[in-house]
Amino acid sequence: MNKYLSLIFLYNRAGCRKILLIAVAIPLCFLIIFLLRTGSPYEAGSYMLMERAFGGAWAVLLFIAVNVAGLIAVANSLNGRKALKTSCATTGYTMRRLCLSPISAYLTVFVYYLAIITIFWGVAIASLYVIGKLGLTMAGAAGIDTKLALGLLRTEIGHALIPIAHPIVIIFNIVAVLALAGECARSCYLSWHNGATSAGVILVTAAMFIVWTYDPASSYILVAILVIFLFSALSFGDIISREKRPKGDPFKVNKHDGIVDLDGTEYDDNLYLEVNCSAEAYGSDPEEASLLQRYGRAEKNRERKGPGRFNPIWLRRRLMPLGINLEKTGFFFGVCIFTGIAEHLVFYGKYLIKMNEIKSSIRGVTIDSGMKMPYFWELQTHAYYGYLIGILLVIFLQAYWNYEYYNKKTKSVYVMKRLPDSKEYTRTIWGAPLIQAFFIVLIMIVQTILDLCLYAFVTPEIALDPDYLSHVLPFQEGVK
Amino acid sequence: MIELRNVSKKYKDKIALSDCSIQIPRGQIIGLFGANGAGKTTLMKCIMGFLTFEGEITLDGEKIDRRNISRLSFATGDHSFFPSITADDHKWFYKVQFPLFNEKRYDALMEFFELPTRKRISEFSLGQQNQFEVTLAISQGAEYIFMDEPFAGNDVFNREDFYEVLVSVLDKDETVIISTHLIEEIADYIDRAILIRKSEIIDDLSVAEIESSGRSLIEIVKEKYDYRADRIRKAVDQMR
Repeated sequence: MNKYLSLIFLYNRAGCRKILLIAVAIPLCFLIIFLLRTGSPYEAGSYMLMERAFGGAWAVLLFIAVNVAGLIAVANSLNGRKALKTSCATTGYTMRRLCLSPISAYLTVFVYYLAIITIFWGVAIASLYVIGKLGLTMAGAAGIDTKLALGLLRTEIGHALIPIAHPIVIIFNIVAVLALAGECARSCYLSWHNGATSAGVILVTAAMFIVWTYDPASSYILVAILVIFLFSALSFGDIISREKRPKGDPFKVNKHDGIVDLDGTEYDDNLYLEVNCSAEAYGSDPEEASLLQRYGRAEKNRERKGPGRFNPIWLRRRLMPLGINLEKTGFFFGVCIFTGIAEHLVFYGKYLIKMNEIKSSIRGVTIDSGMKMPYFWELQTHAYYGYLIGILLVIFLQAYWNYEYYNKKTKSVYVMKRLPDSKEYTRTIWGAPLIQAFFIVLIMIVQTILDLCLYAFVTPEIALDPDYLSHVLPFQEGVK
Repeated sequence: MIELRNVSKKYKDKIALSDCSIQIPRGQIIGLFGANGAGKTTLMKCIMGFLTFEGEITLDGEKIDRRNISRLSFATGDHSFFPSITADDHKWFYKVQFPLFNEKRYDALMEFFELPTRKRISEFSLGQQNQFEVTLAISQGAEYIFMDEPFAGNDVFNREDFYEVLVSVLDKDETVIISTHLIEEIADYIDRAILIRKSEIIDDLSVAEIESSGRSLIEIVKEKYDYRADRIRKAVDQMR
């Protein structure tokens, strides 16, 4: 048991004060929102009080946003505290001195983080119940009235506030909390982040936010469960495969020198030398493209002139900090695009449901009265939240990571701030995020055009309002 | 000339620098000595403009900012390079960014240290990383080269060879300010020694002053820092 506790101590990156602060801050935020919305509880009836406090989309969004922010804060305090340079190198040695296998070490850290996240979440939910109950008592409700009113939290408005009511949401929550703990454990275990926000944490919490603000009966929750499950499986697979790989860059070595099946070979010094020599040979291959080319800074790109200068794909790489992990940024960019496209499926869902109704209402050349396809933008309601979240994340989170790359992961800020071209530092922090946002906006526009084509050409003409086009571009209405 | 007038720096409640005033003319090799936490790194970072401070720091009478910062270079034990790219890529980056980058000097130093040019810097040993950091700082084409503990982790032969190379390779108007604990090693190569103690500059000695005192630099430092030789005996006695 002692060795497991030692391991937890070794990997513990959560400051007790920070966790306690968050645990107090979240209930306090709930209380403030509750009081701001209800006014004086003494002057309201119990049901009215609950409606005022928890009714309406804004209330739900506010409470959920606070809850999600709390979860992100807890997860980041677990995986994000800046590790000392040396601790990154020595935790692995200590783990091996404790005679724990890498996988059991990872699982121990995972269970520890799972416990902390669950406790935090429990505190958040309990605090919401307590606030509701206290408010009701102050409003004069007692006995069965209180129970009924608190029941609201578990019904139409409450499933999102306390996401433990609906079975499918419960399943989602279990998967999400496991994924969250897994991501924290992976970050710590691999000593990756050194204070950075994990993209995995953002991915899981973004899904939580979207699911909690949706109707629990929605089948998209199943998709979300599947996505998070796959992501967690990949994360876990990553841990296992990393442990099995020898150090260095074995795949490239294998490719060039024909060394095969290193996994099954005892890891001795000779082999290490062999791998390193091969890696050197690989590096000195004149045909191998310079790393600078990957960052859009190769010699041939130096004097780009004409329209080539504005090629956004090249520009994105050119404006990334030199040496940053392009795979990670690319993956994150993909996640943001995926979030936008996936959430936009709401439009197609609404459209298909309406189309089914329309098809069953068509009688020859006539249609049942009142059966019309809603206007284009009515169908698009709530279909752009994913894009909005994607754009915000891709700008601010990526910019933050770029800043952190210069200032925390490396100390290249000392060079960047000495450059004669004083704008290069700012440019490489904000440039790529803005270009990525531009790409997402472009995808959003293309998807909207596709939606419009679908709406205009696939919908039976009889089901369309004669003036539907004038409602597509808002300013046309004004012109009329 | 770099001139510091009444420079003070506080980290929350801790005073890191207190009313420091010095002048750093061109063409000198200056040793900056002091115990851990004395304020050596803070002083350098203030000059480079990486930290805010009270007082005034000027370079040839002008404030150090974006316009003239590239006249200074900085080699730090924290390492200011980009770990995931190669030495060759760094060379390209410096060539593009610093118009006065001294390619000849860079190539010569890379050869002297026997550093691989097509290997990621993260794959270098700690000693090699230190050498590379120093190589970049010296080759940048700066007039004032600041080095903060540049050779922590390098073997003694490497260090001594480097001092020899440094002295020979520098132009007569280039200035090196080197912060280190290896006082005895560097004593023969410096023109001037600045001693910092508990955030204050306690002495500023030229080689002539050191020689005329009849004592070695390390003896002067020990005296200035109230070094107590009996502390070892006391500690050992306590442990027994």
